Amino acid sequence: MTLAGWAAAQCTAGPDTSQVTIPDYLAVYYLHFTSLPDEDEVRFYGGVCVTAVGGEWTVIADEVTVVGLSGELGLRAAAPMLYWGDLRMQAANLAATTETLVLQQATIDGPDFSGDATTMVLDLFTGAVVMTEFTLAGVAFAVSGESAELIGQTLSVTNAEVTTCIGVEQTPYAIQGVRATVDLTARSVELQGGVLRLGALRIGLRPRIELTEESLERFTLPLQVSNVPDGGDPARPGSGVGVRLVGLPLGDEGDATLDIGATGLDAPHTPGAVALVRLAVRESQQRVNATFGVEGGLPLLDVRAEREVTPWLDATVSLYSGAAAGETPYHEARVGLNAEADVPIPGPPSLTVTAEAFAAATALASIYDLATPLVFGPRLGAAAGFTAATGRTAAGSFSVRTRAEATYYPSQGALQWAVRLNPTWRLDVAPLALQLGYDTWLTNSASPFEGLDRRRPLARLTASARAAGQLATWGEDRRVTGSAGVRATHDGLPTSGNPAGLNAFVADAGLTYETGVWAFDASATARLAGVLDPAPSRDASVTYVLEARRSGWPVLQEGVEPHEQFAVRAEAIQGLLADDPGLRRLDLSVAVPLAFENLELRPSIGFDVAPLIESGLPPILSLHALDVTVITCCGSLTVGYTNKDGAVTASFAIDLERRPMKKE
Amino acid sequence: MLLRFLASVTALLLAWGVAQEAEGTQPPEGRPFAALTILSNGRQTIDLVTGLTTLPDGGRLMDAQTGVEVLAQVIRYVEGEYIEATAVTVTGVFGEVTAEALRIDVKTSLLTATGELRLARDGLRVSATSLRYDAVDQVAVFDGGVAGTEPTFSADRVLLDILTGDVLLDGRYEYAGGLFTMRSPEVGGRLQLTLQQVGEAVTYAATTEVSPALLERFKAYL
Repeated sequence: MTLAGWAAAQCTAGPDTSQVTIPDYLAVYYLHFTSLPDEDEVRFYGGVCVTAVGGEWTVIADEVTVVGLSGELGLRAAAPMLYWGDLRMQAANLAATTETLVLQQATIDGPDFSGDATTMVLDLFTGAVVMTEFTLAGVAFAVSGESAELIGQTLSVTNAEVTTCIGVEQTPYAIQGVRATVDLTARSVELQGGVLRLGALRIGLRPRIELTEESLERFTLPLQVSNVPDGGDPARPGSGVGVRLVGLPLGDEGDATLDIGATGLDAPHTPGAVALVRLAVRESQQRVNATFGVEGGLPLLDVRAEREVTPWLDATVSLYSGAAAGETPYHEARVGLNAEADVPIPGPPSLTVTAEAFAAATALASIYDLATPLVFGPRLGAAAGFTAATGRTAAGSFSVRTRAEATYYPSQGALQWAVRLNPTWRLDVAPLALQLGYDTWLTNSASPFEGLDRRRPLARLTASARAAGQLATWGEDRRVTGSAGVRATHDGLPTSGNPAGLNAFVADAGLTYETGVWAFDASATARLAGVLDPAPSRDASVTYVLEARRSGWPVLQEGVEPHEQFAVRAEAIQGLLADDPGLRRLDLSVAVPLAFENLELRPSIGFDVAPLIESGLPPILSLHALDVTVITCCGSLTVGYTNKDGAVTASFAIDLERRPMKKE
Repeated sequence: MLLRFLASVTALLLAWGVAQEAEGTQPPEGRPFAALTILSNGRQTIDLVTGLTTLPDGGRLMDAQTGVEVLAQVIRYVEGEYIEATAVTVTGVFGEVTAEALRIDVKTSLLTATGELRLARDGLRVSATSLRYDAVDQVAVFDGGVAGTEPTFSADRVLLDILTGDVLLDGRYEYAGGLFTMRSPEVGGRLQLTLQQVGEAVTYAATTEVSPALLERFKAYL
């Protein structure tokens, strides 16, 4: 029964109840009443329902007093329940006139939110609700404020606070704003004049912040962990494991952010600082993006200004000095023109034409000595191309990308040219998906600026076929799904590290059986390039996986089910090459979630038992991992690491909608 | 000769009636209606066998103990037994009642009025089919389509406490109290109207929760 329906059920005259109507105002259903002429009041009691004539609102209380019988009519009730549209409100006291309903010490429950307020004033004519000292909480966040007005589904808040901490008296953090607009339908908040409050600390934020339940659901920590290859030299600046906080707002305008962190945190890499200011300004037809600061301990400057000359032509001026993480270091001043236009053609097919020209003064540097250029000189280039696509047809989707470019290096007297042709075809006929592509670059690879713009010849054919879908079902919670596929890559020319030929051929198939809380996976993946087209760098093996997962187990604390799954897994790799045949490894692993009200641990451990089977040697610890999730009223934070065969990865995750389970 | 005889009989009867008036002022038993003063507007006949006295020209009855005074167009009574009257106006502490017929049972001190009955007293106007007034308990019970105009109400039965002026509506009722018209539940109920003096005005406080004291007062009539 809906709230309104429930309320209406109370508001009917029965054998023992009576009804009285005040024309154009309200109807009262009551068990007892007493008139108090000297006080100009009538008291209804013993279970009372008051409904507005028209049914816009309903009050249920043990006792309701109608006041001002000979003057201005009103209502008074203690501990009433008020039904207003799809909202249900309870309060310590209700006072009403023919124009307003006033609730004191009120709580409110709606389909999408609930909360409380010191006072709520409902305007019976306009339908607006004015609240003071209120808090409203949805699934993902809570909004509180000094006062607010609810008109329709829009709540306008003065001196607002938004936090994901729900149900706590003193929130450890909140985003404060001078004003906030809450859309209760879209469940979004727009804050103006934002300040982040962390305990007693206050940090200025962008002047306008928009939060939605969807964005909070997708919220990720502004923390990035990277591992930049050192190319064999651990002393290479910026290499190794790095951690950085990104996108920290600077100032009130909201167009400047700061990335801060460090690289080379793992031995034997060299530590380096990261402190980058990023600016992004857009004004009518001009855009400026700038990044400057220190990256991996080395200075970095990257400024790019664009201006729209015509709707299809942009002019660009840029300045670059330093090395982005893992990139080739260089210094450059560059001007350019970029054109892009969609050629109108009838029907679904599309055609986009692009062209560009640039002039640059470039100095390629060493990561170890940015001040000494390795190669220096101007670059003059031009390029043109088009992209055409048929859109989806009965025969699939066809597209082709082309590009022709030429760059002249006056100082070196060199000219590099390159032409690309990249046709693709894709067909999706459920449950089958087919894809075929060819990507070729024809070039003379003449650029002196290796690592910056030198092209490499390419002739790559890729193909794949995959089928996936549900195979059988029994009842509501038992089903089998399966998938099978094959994909291959053939290079007509050698590429970096790979000879010409069939460089990849992978076939896989798998089944998943789900029944209630259990799920079972079985799969096999064959990598066959090494046997179909043998070459020294090509391997051939088959990987077999069996895995069982169970959700909601084990329960260590009454009423607290684990969020993560219990899992046991066996993974075997069988070599197919003559020089490495047979069982290469057999990993047996288990992951067990240990859940408590505010903490969940998920340790995993795995051993390679192939040495035991093959040679009687002890198993090798191949996997150890731990995820630690702290669950608070503000959301949950998961920190974890995985060490698989010595390769360590770390993870951080935030789930703002996960809070301690409420015990029944 | 005949006229002279009639005149002397009338004179004799009048003399007896005067003697009766003198005797009626002494309440021999101390009960309401036990000591009545009866004044005839004209003729008065006595049935010497039954003791029935008839005042065909009407008259006035007064009970010194209750203060009840009855004006009627025809009065018939048997000394110490009952009094019957038609087209009566009864005044007393309960107010003024007009009715087509009245009977006072002297032995039980019960006054019964029927037909086009109306009661008027301070703050209360009632019409009903019948009235039963117990002069000992000083409770009046109105029955049969009882309706009030001051205040406006209707009820199956209305009980009036003559001493306090409190009223009880019994059974299915309707009561118009200012903005409201209260109606009893479908199965009927009770509504207490408590007389209140607000400034110069007499008004009633209404409540569905009847006080135990009033229920006790009306216990014999509910």
